[in-house]
Amino acid sequence: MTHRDTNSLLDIMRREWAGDTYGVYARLRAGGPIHWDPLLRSWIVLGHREIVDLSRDNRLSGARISEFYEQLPAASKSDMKPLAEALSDMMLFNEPPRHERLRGMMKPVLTPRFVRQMRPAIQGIATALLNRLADAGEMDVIADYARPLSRDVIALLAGVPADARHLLDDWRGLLHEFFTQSTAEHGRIESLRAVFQQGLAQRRAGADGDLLEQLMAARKAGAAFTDDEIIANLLLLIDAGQATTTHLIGNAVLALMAHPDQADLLRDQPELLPGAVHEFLRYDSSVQFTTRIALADLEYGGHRIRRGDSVTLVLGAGNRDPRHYSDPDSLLVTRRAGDHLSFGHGIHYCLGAALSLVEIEAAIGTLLARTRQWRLLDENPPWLDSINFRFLTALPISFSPAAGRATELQEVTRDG
Amino acid sequence: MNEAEWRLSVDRATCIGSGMCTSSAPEYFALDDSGVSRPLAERVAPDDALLDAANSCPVEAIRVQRIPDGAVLAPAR
Ligand code: HEM
Ligand code: SF4
Repeated sequence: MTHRDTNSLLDIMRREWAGDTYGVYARLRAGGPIHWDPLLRSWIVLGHREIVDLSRDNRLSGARISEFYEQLPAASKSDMKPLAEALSDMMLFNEPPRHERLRGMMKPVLTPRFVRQMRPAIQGIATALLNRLADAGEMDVIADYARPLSRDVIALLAGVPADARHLLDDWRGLLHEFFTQSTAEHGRIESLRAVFQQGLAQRRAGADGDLLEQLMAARKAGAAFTDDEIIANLLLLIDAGQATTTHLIGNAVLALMAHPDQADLLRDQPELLPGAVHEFLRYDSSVQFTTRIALADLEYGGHRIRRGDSVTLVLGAGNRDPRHYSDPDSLLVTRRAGDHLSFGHGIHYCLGAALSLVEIEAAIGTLLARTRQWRLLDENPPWLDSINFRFLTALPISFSPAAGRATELQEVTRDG
Repeated sequence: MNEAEWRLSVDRATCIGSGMCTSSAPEYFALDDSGVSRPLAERVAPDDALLDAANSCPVEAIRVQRIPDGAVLAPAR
């Protein structure tokens, strides 16, 4: 890489900043809460207030698939067609009015009410994993605990049967696949499509009352979703819901290891957990930004954003905005952090928020109750090479099992 | 839904300012200066969009009640 003296969001990838995402943000803030990043060729928005404002501005659009697709050379176009089609049917890459319709399809099964019904199952998964792990004294928090937990929850939600769950392993982000023009995931997507199609066919015959059943019921009630739309958005649930939650749990464990007093506080007062989950999300989110395209010229904060410009909303920087949070670089589980930006803001606000809050609470609550004296087995656990995803690729720790098997302790996790 | 009016409220201590209700039903909700949602009118004519907003709020901070008897119409339990 050539020498340069401009600061850029891309610095996160430079060796000297490796892993120090928040140090990069602090440096970038000197350029103002919103400014043009010439290397990224995008506006970067770092302030909490500014991210909230711009997330609500309907002149900024999340529909960014077709533009990219249209400018591909013909040969790549045919390669990328299946992925482009699936992505274009996902709510995340659509704007009103289609966005509302697509989101409406999945919404009924991700309401807080529905998630409450899933809660015992989620707690059951966490407990079963720890029953296996607690006596070993060592684990990789990512591979042994967080990943199987979030995978099984998504499989449960999306109706992926046990014999097809391997299709959810080592999932690579579909958007990343698309932007790097990779066809590596085509086979898997086709297999999952077959699983979902079969699932929908069975539900047509009237089986149990899960997500697919509800989708079929909605269709009978006159909502005209095509199979393609349903399948694309099931893929989105897997894409958006698995690695994000897995790595949020990993980041939360790492944060608690750096703040042992906060871990002790949570062990003493598990009722603080629901609030602590928001603080984990604020403190170190697995997703650091999201991108929009300007559909029209707009003035904001003394800047002129032009039609066609890319705008990067750096959620992870807003979460550490010193104008919004006092002592932003400390993890304080008693903080009121519910207004963090890690789930985005506005119409695309994370549809899985209620579900992942429960997953994170069950994961961290159970781990705290069942184990103590956590120690890093690798002083510098490895981060994925990415400017957007704060994913630990492994988090090996040692610990001692909590005295007694303390099954009763898990009942402490609040009941919604 | 029938003719009676509905009462709309937001529990300000619970709302996390996700901006969902204010984006999906801007004629009923607005975020105030502290980033918390506030109903624009307390009494409103029945509208399914309100049930939808209350059922979708990630922290169930929105409540829709039937005026004469206070029955909670949403969020559904
Ligand atoms: C800690 C875990 C999670 C994080 C940090 C996260 C983050 C986000 C963010 C930032 C957005 C907004 C993107 C944008 O505005 O462009 C989003 C949207 C979304 N998320 Fe999540 N998410 C998480 C878990 C989940 C889970 C578990 C699911 C599904 C079960 C899920 C499903 C979705 C969907 C469907 C959308 C698109 C919503 C729309 O476009 O209307 N997410 N998520
Ligand atoms: S949807 Fe709920 S949390 Fe979000 S702004 Fe409205 S009331 Fe607040």
